[in-house]
Amino acid sequence: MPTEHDDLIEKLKPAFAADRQRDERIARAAVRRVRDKIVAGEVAPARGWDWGWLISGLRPAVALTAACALAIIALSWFATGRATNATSSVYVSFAAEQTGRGTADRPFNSLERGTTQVKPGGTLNVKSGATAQPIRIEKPMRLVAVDGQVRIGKL
Amino acid sequence: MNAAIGLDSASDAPQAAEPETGDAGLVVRAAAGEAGAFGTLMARYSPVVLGYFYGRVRVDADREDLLQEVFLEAFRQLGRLRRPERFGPWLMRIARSKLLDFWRHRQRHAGRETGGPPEELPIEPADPGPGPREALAESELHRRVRDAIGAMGDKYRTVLYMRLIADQEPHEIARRLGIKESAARMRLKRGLEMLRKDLGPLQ
Repeated sequence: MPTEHDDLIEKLKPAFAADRQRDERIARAAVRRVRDKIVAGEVAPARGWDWGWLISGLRPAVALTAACALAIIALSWFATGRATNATSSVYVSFAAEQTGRGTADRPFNSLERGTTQVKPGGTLNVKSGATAQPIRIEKPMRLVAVDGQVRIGKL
Repeated sequence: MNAAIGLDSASDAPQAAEPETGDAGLVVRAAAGEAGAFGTLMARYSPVVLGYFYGRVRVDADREDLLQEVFLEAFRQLGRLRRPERFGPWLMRIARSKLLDFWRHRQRHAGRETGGPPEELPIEPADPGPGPREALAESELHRRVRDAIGAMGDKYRTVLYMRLIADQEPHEIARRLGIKESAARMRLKRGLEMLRKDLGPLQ
């Protein structure tokens, strides 16, 4: 079946006569070397399930899954404020969201997280409200009720 | 190049053409230890693998080594090929893997000097080029066509090589690559269009 590019093929073919001969020589040499190895018993077909190929095929999927898992862990870590570095001034509001980061506009929602994150000698600023949760302080810090009364412990 | 080069033949000269046996039958026989069957497969698929390497690996000795590595790996893994009729595409996956290994090995050594990370399957940068005599003989047209084909994607490069250099017909190309003849013709058409565009008007 003639095609519109037959003229191009016919023009180019002679330019590749040397390539053709050279590649025939390469193919013959490679085939001969493989044949010699097979005949000499240096290589034999493997049997059974090919776990190596399966593993190599799965490798990109495993790497991608691991990268996604790490990204999710890192995001949730930051989102919950766990990665917030210890700081000299930390805010807590009992009415805050769990995703607080200890700042004035995004305060932590528990005293435990506030006392953990504040630096020794720092200030724990507690917004007005009440909590039944106990407070345990194991380092020097200032406790400040920033905008009204704060009740801690039994309500 | 497409002639059968039997492993059991004493000579490396191409043998007389035989009625083509299906790849699946040859794969089963080769996996059972029939060396001649594998020889026929190697002869059939040498142009395909060399086409895949064309323009990417230009040193003859490297291409010969790679071709040998591909066939040795194929022979080792033959018993694990679940669909013998898909020998061609399976072999090309081995060829791709070997080419990547080749480039990683190259980059490990060259990287100390260049420092940059390797691109996947780059065109060989460290081509020493032909010797003085070959350089004289190599026509400008040949060089331009070789570079243009070498820069093409795998599917066009292989098909163009098989048509222009290995002198195979579209139905043979389709059979080797495990694709429909219409797909082979389409790849060939698009590849030639790209080539024509790259080359401009020919004298």
